[in-house]
Amino acid sequence: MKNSRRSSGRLLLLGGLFLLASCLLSLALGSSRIPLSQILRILTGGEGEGADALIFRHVRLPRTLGCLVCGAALSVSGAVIQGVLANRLAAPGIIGVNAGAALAVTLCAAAGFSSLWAPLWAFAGAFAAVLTLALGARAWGASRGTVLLMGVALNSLLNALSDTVITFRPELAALRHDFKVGDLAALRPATLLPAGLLAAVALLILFTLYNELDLLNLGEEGARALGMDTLRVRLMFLFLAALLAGCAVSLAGLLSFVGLIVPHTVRRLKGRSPGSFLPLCALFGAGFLTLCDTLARTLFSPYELPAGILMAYLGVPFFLFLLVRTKGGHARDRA
Amino acid sequence: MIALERVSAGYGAAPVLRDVSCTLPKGQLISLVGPNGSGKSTLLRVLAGILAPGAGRVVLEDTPLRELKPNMIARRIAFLAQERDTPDLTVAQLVLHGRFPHLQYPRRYGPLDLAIARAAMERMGLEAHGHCPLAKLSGGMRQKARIAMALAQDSDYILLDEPTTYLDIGHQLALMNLLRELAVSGKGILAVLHDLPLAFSTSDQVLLLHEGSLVGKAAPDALCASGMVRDVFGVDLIPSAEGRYHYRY
Repeated sequence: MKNSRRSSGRLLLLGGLFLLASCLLSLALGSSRIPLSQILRILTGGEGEGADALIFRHVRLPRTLGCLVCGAALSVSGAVIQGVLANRLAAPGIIGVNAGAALAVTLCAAAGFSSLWAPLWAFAGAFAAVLTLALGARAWGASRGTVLLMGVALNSLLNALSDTVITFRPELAALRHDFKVGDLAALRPATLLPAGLLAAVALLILFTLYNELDLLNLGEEGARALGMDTLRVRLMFLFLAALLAGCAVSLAGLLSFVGLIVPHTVRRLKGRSPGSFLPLCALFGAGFLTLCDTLARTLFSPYELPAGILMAYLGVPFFLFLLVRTKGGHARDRA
Repeated sequence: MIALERVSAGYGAAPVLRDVSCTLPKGQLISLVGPNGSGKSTLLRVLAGILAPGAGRVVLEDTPLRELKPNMIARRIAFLAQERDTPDLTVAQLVLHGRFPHLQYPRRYGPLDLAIARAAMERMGLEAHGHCPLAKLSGGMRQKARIAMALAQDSDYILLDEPTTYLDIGHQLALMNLLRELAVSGKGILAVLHDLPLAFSTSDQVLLLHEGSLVGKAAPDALCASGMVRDVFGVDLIPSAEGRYHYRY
């Protein structure tokens, strides 16, 4: 157990360094490069209203913070949903959780509500989607594979509903496009604070519930035999996971695969120590999305590739790799 | 003592268990036997508070089970269901989770929990396998890890559904000896067993289920002499001079 703690400590340090490096790259690189020394001066209040300071405050910093919130939220949300549904291939972008959030935000925009409410609408949509899936799977006694297929079907249905709304309200097509590709460039700083606060609260609560999440590994009967009120605990986890997914979707749209790639990578790095698993997912998720966004907007300069597209290029091969790896391996098909 | 009072229970309209009454006292090793589908696992689920009875009630030391919170039940009753999936945990993590019912939010395992879990692993001979993922162990070793978890739970009663599955005959006998020791130390043990000679040779009492009804509950020699075993299973059990039982087909 001591070895496990030492290994987790090393991974947390590694994750922290990865996150720091990603943040510095994100703040420094772009159409206008800002040297690290100048970033430090701006952060310590030594640089006033120069062009670099304005770019830093109004463009780079909000975007980097958005990446951190979305990356941490989506990867932890994915890890939690995988634990609750006992399926490692269940990620918010695959089983309709993000699509539910996107539908709710589209409806919010169609109804003319302020975008400040977007995080709450997105949460409601994400929660409704994941609850529908979890309760449906429970009612029909669905196997893990069937749950995944149900989620994929739900994802298609919710996306179709969003597209239907756009068909009747074509003026929202630009919003829908931003949502579909998952682009941090469309991030609205006004929504950053409420979404960031909600995500931070959800993350802090989840970080205290690691033993409960771990116990779900034992299955319904095993967890109940150890005194867990599994229905209540599963609902609580889904509520918090949906809150995280909703916050991320309201900020950056449909960023697929973060919730799939990061939890798996953390597990493969032997970060399965229950106490550090979710914090590691948050650290690596935030760092990974920040790095992807930096690459997406600098690799093809002066063009900016939406981060969601780059994530899909990385995520699809990884997803297929996982499908092959878990073929017939029930023991590995667990969170 | 846990008492089942005229319990009927099941998963749909037709009950699996019908009007079952029995008791599980402390300090005894009791075997539960019966053909496939006779309701053995259902009976254990009802006793553990996992499945609510449709009729009748379960009473734990004068308190109806339905009045107790799940963690309070788990502190008193450990229940090892049949293994269906292998959890993605190490041996040490699994055994430590046996302490879960004893914790309050925020649930953190302390030095006492670690010491109890370590003692349980040592008792099952697993101290060298603590860091080993369960998925990499043989079925028998995984079964031992699950039993160590039940020991770490430190409950008054232990219910085990087919605990000898995956164990070779040597380990089956060792497990029954362990269960016997636990019973002698004051715990109430109820184990579902398919091996009738093993059940009759090692238990204080045997419960015989048939088609959801409890058709026999007695000491092994009395139940063996009653002819119920032949009626239910179509085989005879023959006691030997050393108190062991053997099949006669």
